[in-house]
Amino acid sequence: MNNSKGESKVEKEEGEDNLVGYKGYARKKLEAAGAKIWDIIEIKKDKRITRGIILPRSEFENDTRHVNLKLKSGYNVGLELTDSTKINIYGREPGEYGFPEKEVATVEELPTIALIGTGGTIASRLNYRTGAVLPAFSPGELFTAVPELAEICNLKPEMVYNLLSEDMNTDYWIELAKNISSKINDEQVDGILVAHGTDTMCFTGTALSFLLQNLPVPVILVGSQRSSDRPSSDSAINLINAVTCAAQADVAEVLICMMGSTDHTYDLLHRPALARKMHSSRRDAFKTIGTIPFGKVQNGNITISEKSYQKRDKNRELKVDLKMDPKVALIYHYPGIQPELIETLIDNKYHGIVLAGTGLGHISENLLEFVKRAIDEKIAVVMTVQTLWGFTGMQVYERGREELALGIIPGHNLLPETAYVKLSWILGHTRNLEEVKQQMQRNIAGEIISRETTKGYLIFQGSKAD
Amino acid sequence: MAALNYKVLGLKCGLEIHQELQTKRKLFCFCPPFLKTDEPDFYIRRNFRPVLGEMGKFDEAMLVEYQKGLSIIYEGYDDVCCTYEMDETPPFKISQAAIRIGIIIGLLLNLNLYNELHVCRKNYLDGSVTCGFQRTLLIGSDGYLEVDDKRIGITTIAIEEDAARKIKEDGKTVTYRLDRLGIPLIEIVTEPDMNTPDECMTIAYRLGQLLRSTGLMKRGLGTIRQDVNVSIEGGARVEIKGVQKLEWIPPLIESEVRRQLNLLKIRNELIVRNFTKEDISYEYLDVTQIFKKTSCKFMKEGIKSGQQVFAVKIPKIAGILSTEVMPGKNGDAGIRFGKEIAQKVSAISGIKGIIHSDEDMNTYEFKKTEITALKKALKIEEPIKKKEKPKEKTTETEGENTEEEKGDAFIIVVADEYVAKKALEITVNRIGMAILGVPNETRRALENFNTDFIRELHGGARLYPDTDSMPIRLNKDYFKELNKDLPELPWIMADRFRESYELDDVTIENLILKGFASFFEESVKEFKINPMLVATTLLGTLKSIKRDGLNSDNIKYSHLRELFELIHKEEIAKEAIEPILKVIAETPSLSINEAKDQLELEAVSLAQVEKLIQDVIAKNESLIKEKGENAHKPLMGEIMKSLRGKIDGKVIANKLKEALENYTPEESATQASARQINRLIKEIFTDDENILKEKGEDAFDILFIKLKKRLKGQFDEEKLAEKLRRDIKDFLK
Repeated sequence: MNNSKGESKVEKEEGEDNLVGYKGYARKKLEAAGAKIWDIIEIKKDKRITRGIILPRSEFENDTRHVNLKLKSGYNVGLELTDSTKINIYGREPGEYGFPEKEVATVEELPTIALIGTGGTIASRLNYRTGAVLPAFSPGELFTAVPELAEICNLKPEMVYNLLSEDMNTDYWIELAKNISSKINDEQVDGILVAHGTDTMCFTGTALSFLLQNLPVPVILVGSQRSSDRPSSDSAINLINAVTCAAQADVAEVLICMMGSTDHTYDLLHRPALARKMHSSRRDAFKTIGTIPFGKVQNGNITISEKSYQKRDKNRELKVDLKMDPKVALIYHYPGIQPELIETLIDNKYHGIVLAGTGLGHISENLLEFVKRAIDEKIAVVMTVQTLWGFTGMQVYERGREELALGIIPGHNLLPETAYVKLSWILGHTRNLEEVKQQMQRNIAGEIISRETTKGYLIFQGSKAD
Repeated sequence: MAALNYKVLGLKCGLEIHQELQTKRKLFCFCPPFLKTDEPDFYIRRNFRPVLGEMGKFDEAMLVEYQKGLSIIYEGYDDVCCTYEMDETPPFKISQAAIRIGIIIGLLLNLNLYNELHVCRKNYLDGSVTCGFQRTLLIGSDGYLEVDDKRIGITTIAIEEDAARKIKEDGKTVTYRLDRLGIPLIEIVTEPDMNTPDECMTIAYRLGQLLRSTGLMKRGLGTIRQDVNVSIEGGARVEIKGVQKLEWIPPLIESEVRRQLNLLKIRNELIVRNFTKEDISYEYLDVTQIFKKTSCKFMKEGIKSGQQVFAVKIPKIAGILSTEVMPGKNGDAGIRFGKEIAQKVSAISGIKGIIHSDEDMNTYEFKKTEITALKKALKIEEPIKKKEKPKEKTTETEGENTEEEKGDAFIIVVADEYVAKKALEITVNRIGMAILGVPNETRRALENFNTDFIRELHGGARLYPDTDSMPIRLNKDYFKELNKDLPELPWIMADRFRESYELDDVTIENLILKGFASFFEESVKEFKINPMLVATTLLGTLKSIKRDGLNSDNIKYSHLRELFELIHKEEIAKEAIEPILKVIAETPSLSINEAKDQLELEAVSLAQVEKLIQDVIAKNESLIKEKGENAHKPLMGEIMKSLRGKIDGKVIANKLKEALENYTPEESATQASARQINRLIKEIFTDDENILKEKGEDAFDILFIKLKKRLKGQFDEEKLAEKLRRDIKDFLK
């Protein structure tokens, strides 16, 4: 449901190629007939005649024999072309896609929110003709799609990237943080909304939590699990709740705002460093791990459950710290893991390694020697737990003690992804292992849980969630 | 009403048939395709939002729907619904079995089949599909069905997922059940090639017969649904949905033809009155002030709750709105044009109705001054020659009166401003359409064969590609292979059955319709048993097992094959069929042989039968004394209880008759003696001392059951109970 990737690329090339996606025999056959995409053609084959409009084909289809047709009934089908097939062209019906833009006047009394687009399902719409999912992000488009937004705030949307969220990296995080800081410092906005693909939303949110400290206003990340061309989409409810939060919540932290249940009733707020996308497709995929969610937004009401957090204060001076080191790896330990994995990182001059170890934070014996080599070569090695819930407890078993002796830094409750982002940020500042260790264990952006209560482990086994 | 000459009227009818397929799983997920009747395991609440359509505009109908603020509740079941039905997981690999069935039917109906199938989305805005669209794929187009030398064109065949079932509508909440969502369906659309209502019914029957005869379709209530589309010369295509029975087709078509004729009559009258598009105005007047002190109840309440009264003038059409378009039936009032418009307005905007000038204003309790003020505000001109409107007016008398009534009409609605304006817009637009005659509409079949507005017919099907699916390519050999084993057309098969087997027409038809035909033929051929016995087992026995509340679906062809083989080998009698199958229905893991053993069904010797008969006679002496030879029937029943299936009933009947004739009553020796009873009670008291001590006199029930069991029916129940009560009392003392 996170739309078929790469189709937007097809759309871009449409101007250049008249037979986008067609390959081999089918392409030759269509070229010979002088047929182009959006032509109305008749295909005669075995005495049967089929009439339809030629549609683009997916670039990633390996097939070379079929032509995509839209029939009069509206159905799409694929017809095989053979030597005996005859193609006649009858006209042309180019696929236009207009999108109305609603003009919305600025309302003095309402807070101003900057909406920064980075790509992903939330900022997309469907080209009904081709099925391609295209970015849709102009203010007009947004207000047309979700008119309620105009009643909550003055929205200033800006498309910063159009990325699939798996293509994000440290450079993009830094650029994004810069952009946000200028919106806060120069444009004096009352809140920031970042529309983001859900796959790596927690990474980006965690990075922003470190890059932007001492925030005067909230930075809310929002996404959607169902694109907005679906009547059942979660994008409108997520956007409305996120905007409500950015505009009204008395919070000045980086938070994720996504649906909290499969019902279209409320969104949950999560601290990104403590959150994880726990389902590949459900609307309520985001869960806070190790403690209860930060808060809840429902019908314009914001409830905050977290006891200690930074409140909104427009006079607070934002601290922007944009140094990050991309030479950090995240390694998931598994039985039978080969030490070459670590060796390669050493040879490639990595600066940090986060291990997702088994149980309380263990790795197999055959890795120890190589981890030692890594640490000897000033590579910071941090241990986290694959179990996601719970803490590292490396003093408990023999193996853990051995690891500690080697100098592996225990990651406490840090999620492997959070440890990865945090280590990247720390290594941007120091490569002194002792300092790295101290910083890793310091609570910088609410990522460290000192007490896990019984409510920390809510995974709803055996009962309906929420 | 005069009979209609359909040939002259240029009647054209087409059909759209939806039939659920018999598959093991749903179309896009692995849930079993069964409906549920028990309490749901979970509920989901969802809100649907209008989406921007192909041209970047909101769908109007959807916007209005959204304004109603409807919420959808889905009822879900863990055993038949997964996250796919919840719209929380993308589709899984499509059911190959469903595609295969689609192609088989496509081949049977001579379609042009496509070898690359593309899953498409069809928008449904009413909440009946959780994701807001139905996934559907076209299998083929341009086929035909040949019936009595006439070719009926088959436009398309598609395989699609069934929608959720609507359970209830409660104010602003609509409840759907998710069990049906995703069950594979075949959709067959015909060309409008049928020219009489009866022909349309015949073709619907034939198509249904063809589908069912393959044995590939789901059976039972609601598994087949048909829509009929109707048009006459000068009229327009109107689709009638929800035709529940084949017999409904002819009267529904007739009713629709009359509706179209009446709408054409209205068109002609509008032409005579020189009513054109230019006469239509969208100037809605807020007339709330005029009705501020009205005694019209619902208007008063509406205004009180903040609603407004809006009105619009429509010139030249006075009297038109009271023209009858659908006749009254079985005492129901006929539907006049004004009412038809009101139904449309209500269906789209959700308001209860409209008030129009052709209605009797007294029924609304409006004051004359209010209407005068309204007319003044709307600048309504009175007709030149004013005449009292007859209260009951029928279509027949219409023509004579309208001449003199060329005044203006007005429409009033009470609602929130947005909805009120929307309602007036729908009304005015609908009246505008009347200039052209019949609008394209989708209408719902009612039980009195009239119809009700559902929605305007979409121009082209609003389909777009499903971005969650990849094209499905089919191999040429696959088509060839399926073509080789194509099922025989049912009517050809019926002719052949009539010649080959001694079966009556009803049995033949049922065998074919229920999809048993090929299994029937195989069994008769392979086991060389009486065709009627096979037919009765398939049609009668299975049904009666189901009627007894057992799950007859547990009985598979493999069981029946095994069963017929035993009959063929004469290892069981035909009387054994039902009891054995009942065991299978209860415990499907058993083989037929095991079921037989469980019933201890073995052929019994005649000597054994005779002994049993003697035993039963001895046990029932009093009955025989009383009834004489009439005791045959109850005794037969008792004997059959233990012998059923082991021996032919006729043999037993004869033997019993013989035995009864030879019976000479003797002194009864079968009543248990008082001494015997005393002994048994004592035994029981010793065995169950604990119970007695614990429960006291309440122990009676348990002990009485035990006692009766030991006495095996040889007692007078009342006396025995009395005695036991007494003994318990004594014992407790």
